[in-house]
Amino acid sequence: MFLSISTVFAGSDIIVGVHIYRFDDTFMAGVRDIIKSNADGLGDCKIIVTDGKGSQPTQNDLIINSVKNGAKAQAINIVDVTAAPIVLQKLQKLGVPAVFFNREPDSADMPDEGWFYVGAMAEESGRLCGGMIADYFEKNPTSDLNRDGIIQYVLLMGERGHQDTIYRSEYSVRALQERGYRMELVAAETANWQRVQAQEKMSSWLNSYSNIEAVICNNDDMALGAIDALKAAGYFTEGRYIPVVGVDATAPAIEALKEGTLLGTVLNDAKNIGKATFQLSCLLAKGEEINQNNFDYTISNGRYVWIPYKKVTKDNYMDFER
Amino acid sequence: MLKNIFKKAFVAICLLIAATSIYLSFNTLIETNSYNPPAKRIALILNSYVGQHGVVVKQGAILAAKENKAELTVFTPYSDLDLEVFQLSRIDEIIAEKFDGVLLMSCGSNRILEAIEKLENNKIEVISLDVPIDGCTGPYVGTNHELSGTMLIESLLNHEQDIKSIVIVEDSMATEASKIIAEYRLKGIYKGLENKKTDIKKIKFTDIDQLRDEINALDDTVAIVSMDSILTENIALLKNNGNKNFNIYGFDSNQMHLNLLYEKLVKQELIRDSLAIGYRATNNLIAKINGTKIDNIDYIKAYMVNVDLLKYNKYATLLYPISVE
Amino acid sequence: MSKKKSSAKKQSLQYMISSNMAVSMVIIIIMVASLIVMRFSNEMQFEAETRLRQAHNQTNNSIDMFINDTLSISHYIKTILNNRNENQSAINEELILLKNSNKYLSNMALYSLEGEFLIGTAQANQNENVVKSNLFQKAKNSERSSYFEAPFMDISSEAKSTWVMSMASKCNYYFTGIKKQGILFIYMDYSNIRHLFENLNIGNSGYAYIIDENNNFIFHPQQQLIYSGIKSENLQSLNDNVIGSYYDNWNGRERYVIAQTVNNTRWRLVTVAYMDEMRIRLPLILQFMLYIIIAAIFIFIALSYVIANRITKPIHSLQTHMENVKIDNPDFHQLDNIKYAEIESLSDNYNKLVKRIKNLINQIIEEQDQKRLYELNALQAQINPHFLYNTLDSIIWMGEKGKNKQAVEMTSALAKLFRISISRGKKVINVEEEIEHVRNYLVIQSMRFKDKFTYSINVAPEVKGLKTLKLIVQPIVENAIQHGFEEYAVDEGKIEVSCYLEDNNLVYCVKDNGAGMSEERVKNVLDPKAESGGIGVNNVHQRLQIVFGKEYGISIHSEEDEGTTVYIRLPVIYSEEDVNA
Repeated sequence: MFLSISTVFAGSDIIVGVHIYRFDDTFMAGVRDIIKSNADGLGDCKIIVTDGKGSQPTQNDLIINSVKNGAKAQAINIVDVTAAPIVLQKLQKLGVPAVFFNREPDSADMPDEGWFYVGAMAEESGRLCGGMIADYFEKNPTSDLNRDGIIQYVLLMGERGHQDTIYRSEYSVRALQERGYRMELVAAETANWQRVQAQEKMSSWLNSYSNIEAVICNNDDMALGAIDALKAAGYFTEGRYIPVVGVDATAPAIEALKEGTLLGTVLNDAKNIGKATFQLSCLLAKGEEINQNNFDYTISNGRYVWIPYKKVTKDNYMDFER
Repeated sequence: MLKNIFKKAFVAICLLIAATSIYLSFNTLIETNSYNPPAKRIALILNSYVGQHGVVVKQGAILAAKENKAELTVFTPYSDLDLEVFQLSRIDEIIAEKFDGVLLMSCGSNRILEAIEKLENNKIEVISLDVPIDGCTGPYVGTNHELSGTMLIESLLNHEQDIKSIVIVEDSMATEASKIIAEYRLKGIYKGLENKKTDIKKIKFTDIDQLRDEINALDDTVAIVSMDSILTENIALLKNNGNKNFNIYGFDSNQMHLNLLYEKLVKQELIRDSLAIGYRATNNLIAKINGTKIDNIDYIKAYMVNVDLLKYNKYATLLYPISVE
Repeated sequence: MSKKKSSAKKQSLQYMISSNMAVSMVIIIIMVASLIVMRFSNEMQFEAETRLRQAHNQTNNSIDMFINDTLSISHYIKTILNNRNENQSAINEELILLKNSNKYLSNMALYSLEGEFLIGTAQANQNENVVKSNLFQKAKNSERSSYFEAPFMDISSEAKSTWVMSMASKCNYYFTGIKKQGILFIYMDYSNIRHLFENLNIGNSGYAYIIDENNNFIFHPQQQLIYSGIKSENLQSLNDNVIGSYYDNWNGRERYVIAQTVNNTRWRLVTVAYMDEMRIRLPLILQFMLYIIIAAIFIFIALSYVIANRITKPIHSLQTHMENVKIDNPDFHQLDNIKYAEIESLSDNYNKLVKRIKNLINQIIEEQDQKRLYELNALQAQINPHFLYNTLDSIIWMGEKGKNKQAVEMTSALAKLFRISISRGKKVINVEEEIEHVRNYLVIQSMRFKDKFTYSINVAPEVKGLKTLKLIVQPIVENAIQHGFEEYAVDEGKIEVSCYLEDNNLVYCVKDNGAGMSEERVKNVLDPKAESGGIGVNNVHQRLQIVFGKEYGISIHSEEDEGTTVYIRLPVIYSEEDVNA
């Protein structure tokens, strides 16, 4: 029923359960690899990684089984964030500490203590996106095609309700507004983080609207989908260009950067998210106190480990190539 | 020689037992449903063709019958006329069909008692629902109407501090069953008013105009007790259109009165727990059919509701059942 | 008769084989059957759990679809409100259109963060109530989530149906050109929703319910009864387990419960299956197995009985055969038609035994015949006609010659001789009598063969009182006279007869100095095959050997022309009973 990859462990090793919301999410694949390499490196903490396949009930069963199989801490990339308080309650009853990562539970629902979150501040990624568009328009005022002083933009959104979707969508626009640009939303739809869906949406928009001046995407996969649609409509040749921004700095995105089709992306620092998640979970599994000596990151508000985003453009992508 | 015969006989007997066993084993595969004993057959006879009370009692009975795997047949009158004939004919049918038990919400006629006796003579268990039958010693599941009366009047006295006079409005055109229930309630009301210096006035409703006149003739500082839910609606209508400012306390709320309660046209109402009555009575009946002892008189609590209490689901469902079949 | 005795004392082989076989088969059957039943019921349980899990997932998916539709509507409304260009009346129209097109929607309302009603299809609730409500506060605190409220009664005058479920979330709106935040309330017609939930079932043996984060029932098939307080649900075990699959016990029934989260709602879907309904076929299966086991056991008992029987049949045959063996019946035959190797060696040996017995019997018969013959001859020898005639002739001659004294002597010697010979039929006589017999013989013979020989008789005193086989010495003396002196004349022929004890044996010795015998002749004389039945030395020897054994009898020492000494040896006997004749 569920796929689980387990590293071989001896009876006395500490086990940590790592639950990914879906294995085929590009970004999460990267985080997963980082966690695995950390585990291989460290030696005394073994991990069991599971695939939730996008279903919270599946993930629930995986988490429960993981505890049955001896995991002493759980690192959870939760499928449905509204289920986080319930999952936390269950783990508290079982006496197993929980570290949520990359998909943030709504703090309004959660208790004040007893859990941790490792991730990036969604707001930040939005701002960086908006910033890159603002930079572009500053350098290229001709990009305001209808010269009305307003940027007409389309928005490709991630999963509804996801904090990244909301914050990236909102703060990218807000950042531009704060830089003094007026924004006009031509169309906004969700493509659920997926490239193909994004391409379809973008295609239809290109057919319906002729005044699109910027494309803001909540992630790279969707940005690449938009670029696919633009290419199909004849853009990126003969000087026809619309700036597209995304988030994640995946390898294909960096290729697009090189190619000149993607304006910019934001690095969701998988490396540090993975490392911090792993370190924190291990310490919790071992029951050790967390302090500066054994944990390389800062904890704010008693539970948040914020990993900063980084802007990635044609100018600095070399730093981020894998 | 004998030994030979013995040997052959022994082998033959063993094989015979084995064959019988195999035959029996096939039987177990075939008979899957002969576990269940034949279902008990019970009937429910209502006394009104409309009316939320009857409908919800029926719902309760259906739920309980399903749980006990009993067969329930419901007899609902097709009009409010000739209720007596309807109920008596149904009873005759029930006797002819050899039902196991009957839940009877009496129409109030005095011929019901002998009908019940007839049922008992035919070894059919009877439980009377909510309408007390004079002279009947059989089991009763329903509201304690006298207590309801006392509850209402006590609540009234609680809310209307220093009330000088209470007007009780009765419906002269009510059904027999309603009249019986009203009698008990009145008893309860009077009991609750013992030792109180309140003035009691009674009005008998005949038609709306008469009622209007009577009410207009009243003092302002009265509280009105309505013995009947339709009556309550009429009185509330009059209050709305008139200029008097009295509080209405009524018996037998239902979902039509939601509005009245909301608009504060009616202050408080007594409501019977119809679902519980139907449910408990059916359970009791089936228990009695199966030979278990039950209480002879099983009172189901009634409640006083006003608009504020309706935010609690417990009271809300009394007024408006959550599952409308 | 003897066979009955032995089967009472000892256990029957057949019984042992059949009972051992039967018992071990029964044990094996029971073990195997128990394992199968255990495994089977485990499998049934596992399968039941799997089916329940699938049913649960299906139900969860259906609820998911409904929630997604509802969230889409909410999102759509938010999109409308977010659009700066639309004016309020247009928005209102859209909302009314939406309401009329969706059977689940009851009303929609937008409130400011302070609780002021802004726009909507009906003023669904009093302002103060809205702000104070939990739902409002929760929605206000969260930037992105939608919150749901358990069903309650909506008593506003315009409600088209009374039970509603509400959903609230933060929303942006642009009424005065400024972007503001508000709370969007969506009221849903609970009765319709309830029908949807009611239709999701998990089969006949259980039910499903939905519960929210405050343990309020969003839906329960017995909701009505639960609200009335008549029934209740086992929330205790649900709180203990939170989510997952577990068994619990409620109102005396064991149930298998699966609790899972419902996406986006903070609800949990709980499916309950009654184990007794799930297991309803199990007793039947157990019964079936029981009958089969009983059948198998009895078949095996019969089978082991039959097998044991077949195994022991050749043994029985052997047994019967042996019982019927009569030693004196020469007709019984060997056992043949053997089928089994083990029995074969047994029956081979039996056959050999039978053959040997037959041979021995024949041998005995032969020996008996021989014995009879010797005895007959010995009997014959008791009355030897030739000797009688000759002696009578001698007596007549003596009488004619007037030798009366000698006649009397010879006559009385003859009488004594025959008296002892016959000895009233006895086979065993006193040693003195035997010596007397020989003496009388010698008296007669010496008178007849006058001057031919002399004789002496010496009897040791210790032999007095002992018994002996009769007529064993006289033939030897007769032989000595015949072959020693009669045929050849010898000077001073002498016969010495002695009798003594040697090594607890009685020995007679007849010594003569006659012609003697060659070695060959000695052998021939004692050879049993030679002219058996001949009176004389051979006869005596055979008689002695037959009666007393091979170590007794006659031994002859002879030298030609010198003489012969014959020893007659027999054991010391005191009475006739000492002789097994």
